[in-house]
Amino acid sequence: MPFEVNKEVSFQDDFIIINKEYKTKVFSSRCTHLGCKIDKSRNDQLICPCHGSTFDLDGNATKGPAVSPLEEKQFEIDELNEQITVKT
Amino acid sequence: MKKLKNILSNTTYGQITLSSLAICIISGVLLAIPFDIGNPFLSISSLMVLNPAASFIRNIHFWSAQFFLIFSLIHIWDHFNKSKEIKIKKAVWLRLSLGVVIIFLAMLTGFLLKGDADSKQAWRILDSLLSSMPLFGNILSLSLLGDEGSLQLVYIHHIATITIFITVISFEHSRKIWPKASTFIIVILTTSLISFLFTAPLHDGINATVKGPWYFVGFQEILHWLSNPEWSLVIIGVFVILIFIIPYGRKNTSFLSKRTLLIFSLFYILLTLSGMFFRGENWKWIWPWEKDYSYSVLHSFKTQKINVSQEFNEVQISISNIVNGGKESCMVCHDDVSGFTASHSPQAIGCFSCHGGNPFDGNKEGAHKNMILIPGNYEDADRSCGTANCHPDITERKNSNLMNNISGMISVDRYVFNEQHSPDLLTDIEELGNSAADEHLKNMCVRCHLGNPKTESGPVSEKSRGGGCLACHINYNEFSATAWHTRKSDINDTTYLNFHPSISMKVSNQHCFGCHSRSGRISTNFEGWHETTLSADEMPNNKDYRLVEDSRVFRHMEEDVHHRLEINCIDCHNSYELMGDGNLYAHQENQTTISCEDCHFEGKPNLVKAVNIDNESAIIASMRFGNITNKIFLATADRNIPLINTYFKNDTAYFLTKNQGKKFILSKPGETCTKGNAHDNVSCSACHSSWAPSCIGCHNEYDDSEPGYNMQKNIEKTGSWVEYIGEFNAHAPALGIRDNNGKQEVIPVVPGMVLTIDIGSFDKQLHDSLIFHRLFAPASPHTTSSKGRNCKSCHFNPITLGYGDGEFIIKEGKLKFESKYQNNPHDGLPEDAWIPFMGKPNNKYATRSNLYPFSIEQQKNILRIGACLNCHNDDSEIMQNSLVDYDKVLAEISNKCLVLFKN
Repeated sequence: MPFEVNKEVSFQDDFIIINKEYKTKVFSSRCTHLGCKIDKSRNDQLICPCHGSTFDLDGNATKGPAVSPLEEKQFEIDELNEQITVKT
Repeated sequence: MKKLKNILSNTTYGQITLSSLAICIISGVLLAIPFDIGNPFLSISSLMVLNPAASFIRNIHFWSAQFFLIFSLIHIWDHFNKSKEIKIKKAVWLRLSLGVVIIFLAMLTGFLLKGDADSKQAWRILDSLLSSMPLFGNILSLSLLGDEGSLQLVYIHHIATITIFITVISFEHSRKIWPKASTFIIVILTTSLISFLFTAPLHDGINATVKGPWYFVGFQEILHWLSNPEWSLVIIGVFVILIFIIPYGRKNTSFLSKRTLLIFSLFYILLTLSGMFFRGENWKWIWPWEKDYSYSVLHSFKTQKINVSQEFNEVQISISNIVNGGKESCMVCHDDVSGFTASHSPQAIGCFSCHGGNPFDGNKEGAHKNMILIPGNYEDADRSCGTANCHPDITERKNSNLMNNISGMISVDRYVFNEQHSPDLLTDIEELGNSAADEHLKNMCVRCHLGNPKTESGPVSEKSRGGGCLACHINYNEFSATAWHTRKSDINDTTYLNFHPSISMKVSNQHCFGCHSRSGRISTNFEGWHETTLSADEMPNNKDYRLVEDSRVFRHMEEDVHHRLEINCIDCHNSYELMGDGNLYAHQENQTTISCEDCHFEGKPNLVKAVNIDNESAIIASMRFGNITNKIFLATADRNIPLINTYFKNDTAYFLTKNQGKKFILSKPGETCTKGNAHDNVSCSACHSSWAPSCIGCHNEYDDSEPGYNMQKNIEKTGSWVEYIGEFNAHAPALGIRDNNGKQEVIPVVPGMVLTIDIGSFDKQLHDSLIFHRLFAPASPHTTSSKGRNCKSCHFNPITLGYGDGEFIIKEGKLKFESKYQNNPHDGLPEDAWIPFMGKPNNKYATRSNLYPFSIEQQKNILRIGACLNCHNDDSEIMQNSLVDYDKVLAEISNKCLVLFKN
């Protein structure tokens, strides 16, 4: 997938890529409540459109009904080609 | 009629259910012909737009399925309610009990097959629920749903597995395949009528609200409460058991079971109603009277009737663009429109994503219903510019943007009207009430906020105010402007339909002009125009005068050096200053990040690598200047915002204009600015502002009979504040001290509010009460000259020190001041003064709590040097040395020198 190093939060396929304080993290975009795809963020909170659960940029649930954090994924970044590969 | 009555009285719920099932199956077979499981959303949107017959069949399939579900449940209730003994074999009754769940599954798989935004999330929820079942959950989910992204297995189950099961148990139960002919006819006629009038729903892909089907919304409400939603499956299990035990339990058990089912059903109906009518985006509770209710909650109810008059043909729709995975009917009529930028063309984003309406209605009237003619106003920015696919991170900042909430303007005005103790309180235009100050704001000021909607199409002009996102981003090229003008003069002209303004980053000074030629007049100052009090009739007919569209007359003055170099407003002011950064600020100087020193730096500049800048700046930089990899930008000292139209290379800083790409090498500050530490606290604009507007002598009173305007609601009214102007002068500005958290800076100041307010004219109970204020305001005049003011202009200029215009006289070693203006009777100071000569100001003296005039000691220090300048030139050795060590120079002066304020 394309990797945009400047973008703090990007939603690509089934993943959420977070670039914060010069560190990158990748999370599954599936909400831990019922698996809905999280596709938006607001004020540094990732928001599930189905039931309003929110997660911070470290993947921790900040508002229910979800309680579990988002699943973190392993990844590799190819800086030269600006690509990121997520290990599933 | 009697016959019809007979037929209806002999019709049973079971017969209606059976009829609905038959219609559903038949219509399903027909629907399979145009339906493409590989692209479900595309095929459904295409048939809705293109094929009225196929759309009608789809509606019949949908409505017959809903009736099948509803009448199945009514049929069950009817049987339980009649308290008849149910004599069915256990195995058959078990299959019937399970059948209730299977019916819901049939409905749900049909819902999934739409392939729209609702369906995709519903698939994930179902997958998650099934997978959560212990032992065989994953297998069950895989067997029923298949892999995400493919609906093939769901399709097979819907048209085969589940349908066959339902058909078998229906036959097993009713012993009939075909319903009664009379019932069937009534049901098909009713279904057809409803199908003609109400199209089956399809999510438009833009609205952020996603919900399950109506019969599952109550369940969704339950899921919303449960942090462990897998427990909801227990409810389904209990439901089936309760149905099953009714015929076989003891009388009490049976009764209890029926009662429980009844109560649960009633409760579920309530939950369904709450989910359907009160839940919006992110499942947030929204009351009907809230602003977003219709868009967020009721969007799934929007429907249209079948369009029998085809307005375009199959070829047109087949070649029209696919937008957001589906077809839009807009594109077929409006595919020949030009004027767009590539990023905002219909080919890229369609028409619906900005304009709303109904993208699935092939009829012009239906397609245009609820359309937003001018999207981008703040009232609807969230559903046009700010949808999840577009710019939500920008529109979410709009309420904090000072150009929208105009907190500073409101706070200062209330402070001036003595309605609040501080000019720095945070507020919002939405909080305006009916006080004297708020009425004054509504009558005179608040048209200039971005929330003020653009209600008419047309290019941005000198009179433009507000307009949300469009205030900056709308542009008419020559063709679209010509077409618009033609339409204005000839109402029958239709060529304008072929042209559309562009939405772009080409923000010109003209976009800023409408509002910023008011108040501080920075737009006009920048161009070298000073407002006069002349009327249009009085304006001399020469190039030194200019009449703007609102009939104000301006006189030519020195233009800002940046304007002369064809540098525009946006070349300095970045996106976070103009669109907000999400933080609330009291005044414009707080929201502004740029300062002169960011570009005109001494020593090491503040730099940031392209790889480390924020995404918004990176996108803007890339769009404007191409590949920014490896670029190093200058950044503002305040908040470290990258200046994307600069770059640092080979020890040189370069500056590019954003619209034209003109390149400059950035120069260092002059030696006078940086020599020694004498001017360390003096801002660049204090010396380099060649002039600033200075307005004095204003009087304000309220006239009950004056035709007025409420600029907040944009309605005319009777009764208004009236402003009687005094004088508009233009000269080098006075200076004052701004304290930024302990760091003091000398800045230009102008008379902000030197005025009287007849408060008694508004509040009759106050009788003859008159407010007088002498308040100066911080200014950023935007009249920068490359050559700064000469030394005497600051050090021996009564205006600069805040005394007003006049003359210094040195007599017998003492300095006196003779004012040009008479003293104001309210406070005894000259009309244009800020402070008394060698004195302190009144209690209330500035429109900011952190702005001060020079203290007496500071006045003395300034004037002491000013006296030297009466004999010594600016560039003389003694004056240059005084920049480095003034005390040493003072200690070594000759006896001939005049030293003011020795003691």
